[in-house]
Amino acid sequence: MEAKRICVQGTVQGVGFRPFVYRLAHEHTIMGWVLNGDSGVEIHAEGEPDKLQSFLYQLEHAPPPAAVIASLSVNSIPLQKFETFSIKRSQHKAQPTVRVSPDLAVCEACQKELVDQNDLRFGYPYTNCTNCGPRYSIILGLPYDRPLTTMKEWRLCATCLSEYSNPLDRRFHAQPVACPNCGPKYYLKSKDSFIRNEALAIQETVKLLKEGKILALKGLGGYHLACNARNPKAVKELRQRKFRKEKPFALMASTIEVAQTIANISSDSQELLESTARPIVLLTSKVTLEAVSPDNHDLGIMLPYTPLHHLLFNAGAPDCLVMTSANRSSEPIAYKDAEALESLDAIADAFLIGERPIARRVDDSITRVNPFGSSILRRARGYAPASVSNLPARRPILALGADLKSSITLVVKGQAFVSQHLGDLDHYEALKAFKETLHDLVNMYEVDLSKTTVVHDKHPYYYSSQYALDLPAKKQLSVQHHRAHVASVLAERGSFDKRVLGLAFDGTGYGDDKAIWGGEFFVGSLQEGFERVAHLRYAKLVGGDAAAKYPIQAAAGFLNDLEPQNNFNQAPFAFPKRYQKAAKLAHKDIQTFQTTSMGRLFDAVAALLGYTKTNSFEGQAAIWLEHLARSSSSSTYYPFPFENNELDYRPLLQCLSNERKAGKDTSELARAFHNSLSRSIREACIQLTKQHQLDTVVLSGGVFQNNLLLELVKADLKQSNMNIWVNHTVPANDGGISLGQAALACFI
Amino acid sequence: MSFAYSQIEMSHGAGGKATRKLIENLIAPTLMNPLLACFDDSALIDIDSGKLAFTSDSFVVNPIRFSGGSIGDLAVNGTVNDLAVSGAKPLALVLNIIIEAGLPTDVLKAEIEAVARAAKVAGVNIVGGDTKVVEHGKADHLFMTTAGIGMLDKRLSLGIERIELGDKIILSGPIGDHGISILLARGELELESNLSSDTRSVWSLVNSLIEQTPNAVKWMRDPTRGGVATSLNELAKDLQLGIKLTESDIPIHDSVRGACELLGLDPLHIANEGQFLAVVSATEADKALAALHKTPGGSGAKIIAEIIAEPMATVLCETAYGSTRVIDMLVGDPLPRIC
Repeated sequence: MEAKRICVQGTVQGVGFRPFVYRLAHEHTIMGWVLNGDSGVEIHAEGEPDKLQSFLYQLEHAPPPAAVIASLSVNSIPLQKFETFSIKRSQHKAQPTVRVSPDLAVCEACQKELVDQNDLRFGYPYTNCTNCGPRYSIILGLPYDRPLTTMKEWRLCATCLSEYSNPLDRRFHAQPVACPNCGPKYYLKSKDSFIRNEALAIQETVKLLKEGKILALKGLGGYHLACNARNPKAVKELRQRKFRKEKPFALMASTIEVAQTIANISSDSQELLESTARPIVLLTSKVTLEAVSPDNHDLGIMLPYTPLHHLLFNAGAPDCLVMTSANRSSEPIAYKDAEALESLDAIADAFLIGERPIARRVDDSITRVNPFGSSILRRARGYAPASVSNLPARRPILALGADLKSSITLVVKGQAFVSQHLGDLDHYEALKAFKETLHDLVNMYEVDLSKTTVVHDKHPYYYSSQYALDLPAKKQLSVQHHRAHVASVLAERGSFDKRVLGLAFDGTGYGDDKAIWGGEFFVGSLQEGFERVAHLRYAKLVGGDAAAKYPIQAAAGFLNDLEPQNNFNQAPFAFPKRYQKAAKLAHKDIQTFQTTSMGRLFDAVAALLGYTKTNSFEGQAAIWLEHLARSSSSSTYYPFPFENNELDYRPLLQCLSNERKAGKDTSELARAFHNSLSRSIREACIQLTKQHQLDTVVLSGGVFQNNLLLELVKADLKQSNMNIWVNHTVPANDGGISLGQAALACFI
Repeated sequence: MSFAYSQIEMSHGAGGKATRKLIENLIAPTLMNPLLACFDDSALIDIDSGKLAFTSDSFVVNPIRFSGGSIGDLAVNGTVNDLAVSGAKPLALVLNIIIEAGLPTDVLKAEIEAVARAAKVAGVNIVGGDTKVVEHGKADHLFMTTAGIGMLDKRLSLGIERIELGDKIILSGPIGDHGISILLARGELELESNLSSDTRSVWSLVNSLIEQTPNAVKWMRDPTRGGVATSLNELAKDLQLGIKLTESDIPIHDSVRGACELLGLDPLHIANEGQFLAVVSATEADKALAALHKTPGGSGAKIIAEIIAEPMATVLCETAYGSTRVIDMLVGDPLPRIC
């Protein structure tokens, strides 16, 4: 006989890990105990050496589906001659570094019970077990135990208690465990009815959805607004009530088979769709669903992930629902009942409200398979607040990210926890969520701010920058926006000393020279920092943020440098008056900034090719341009020279302008623009990697969410034998900035 | 007698005969009033017992003339308005002028006339002042400083300690006209028609509030540089309460809105020179508003905001789409943020 002390770190709490250990111990006649400690699961195991070895092997190689083991340490200790194996109470001593589990989609076992008329939890929308259900969205504090969740109000009935206490049961220590007899319920509320009976409430919801009504449904991390996606009248009505002109709506398909009838789904995409995170996956559409995704060949689809979703579909809800975050125009998702009732009053015809409170707002995540693998565009439900990497931090680091697509990264004992997507901070609700999440993370991991390094963006007027400076930190640091983008990719991979060529292409970030950057090339590593070695040629940015809203205005800045004989007021361009006004401002340098923004170059090209309207959501013109280009297979390209460490857009824009005047098809021109950019990136990469003796290129920033561009760059760089690294676990957009900031802060 | 020089020279600031000529022949006749006529070192003013308000402001605007006004208008109205929003009836101003040598006499004359006109409209006398000339390049055409005194109206009792939850905020008229006019005048741009500075005295409007609803008025401010957003943020921070604006209620000319959209500016951050904000009790807000509406120049007044408890020290704006933005102070030149 011998004894081992085992410590398992990672996502091991709230995922059925202790019952799994318990069962494993029984199978291997191991004695001792298991408990949830502050730094992970601790096990005391005594048994015959061969049994112990097999026990350890199983522990490491066959953990529960939602568990992620980050590290496992085994030490020999003196025998204590235990006669049983038990599960001990949770311990809470020092600063916790246990990972809070993200919310999990309902598992198959629970789904089966849901439709089994003889089961206790038949038709119960709050069913869950150790393998599935809510986690982050119900946690009020650590360690993860029922009294520290939003389920604390509901006392377990005898049946639930016996399951909860039985180590061999699937619900052993499932903190949110509940049943129709003791747990929270759903009810339906509308102007003229109130249905208490849960089954009837669900039936009525289904009926209303079928009638084309708009429903507010309480979900895991907030409310959804739902309507029948195949009913254009309902979808248009929702757009009108939400003041949401053109931004695509997310869909929920009842099954993977239904999803396959509306979109092309590769095996990689299917894997994402069916993963425990159940994110929205962007897919190429097969059919046109009117008003769901205007001017866009992609559909954002997810599969049901709560018992309630399954119940609705089982009860006959339309098989494809619009499921959009419930909020008023561009605010974060509503998650508190009173607020939802008030703010959605003019939008929803009825509310399906569940009694279990949501501890914090967690939006649906958005993902996509790109040519380099899976990517994430909005990281929230199912992913947050999981640790994304290990960073060599000397003290805790709190990185506050950027103001748009805000996220916060907290590094505790070397683990980088990235918060859920928080939204755009000039919205009050998002700013509130930002502050709450910051304190949430700091409290959950018991971090002392006065001993913490706080990192913010270099932009002096970001709310997050100003907020950072008011925090009582040990040390304050600012990190330049685009360096943080490049750093985020290296942080994901744990590559601290790898020297790379980093391309950060996006819309706006505050540069070292106070100009607005966005088309940047850096050389360096996380350890040594990044030096800017090249960039897009400077252009004028007229009216600052207005240029991001009106592509025509971005065009005025970029076309300012071209030959004066171009007349963009006339056909085929027919630029509206705004163009001339903006051109005048550019000429006089009034409210005009210097920029190297690649995002604005996309806007300018979109304008040249016919996109002369206002962007009703961020990046709309660039997405329009990508989709226009996708419908052509042209391999034409125009000169976009990389000379003297500068990408010169002038010849490119002049060619596009001439070709458009000559009547060339705009989708071919859009394609040619992408081709030209990709070739120019290749040229720059070859020159710069040679000059700096590098073998790896990093691509980050919102522009690299363009799948067509990624495909072209991948093909163009294929023969160069360069490694190309992109973001996988955090977004390439500003949602990844906080991780990059934290990574760079480790070495400053 | 008239002033025979076509432009101002250094000698006009030397303090000798030339200076006397400039003052006697050009400045004084234009501003003439009984107190100024004495040419003494100080003006003596009879006042009743009570509290005096005393303020000063400098004007260095470039260009000195712009659509809707000029530096002379601003010099009078700026100081008059500072007195008015303190609840004081403007009594007298002193005017100091710094002239860049080489300034055409016509330009100076026009500005002195503008001062005289504005003073007359505001019902205030210019009772003294000083004139200096500096070398070419040491000033930008013409600088003016005015100092003014006013008599506090006893019927009013202003003080932020009187402000309560639910109190309303009245804005006297459309915002942003001045700042946008100046910005465009600087580039000699005519982007929008019907755009001109709002420079004016607000005393008559303030006076109508004093006459009609003296007890209701608790705080007033003229939202000049930094605009309404900055004035309200300062108020919210002083109060440690919140302020909630309703976007659709904020009066603004289409031309200003259009220009702001083009320039990427928030009208709430743009300077005004002829408007004021007043916090009034909820119960008398409508009456106060009606008083303004009946007064010439007050027809554009609106109730734009309310004092709320949460979030503390913050100004929010509910948009037409129902979402809520945080309105920050202007912290510098507006830099782009959007990705």
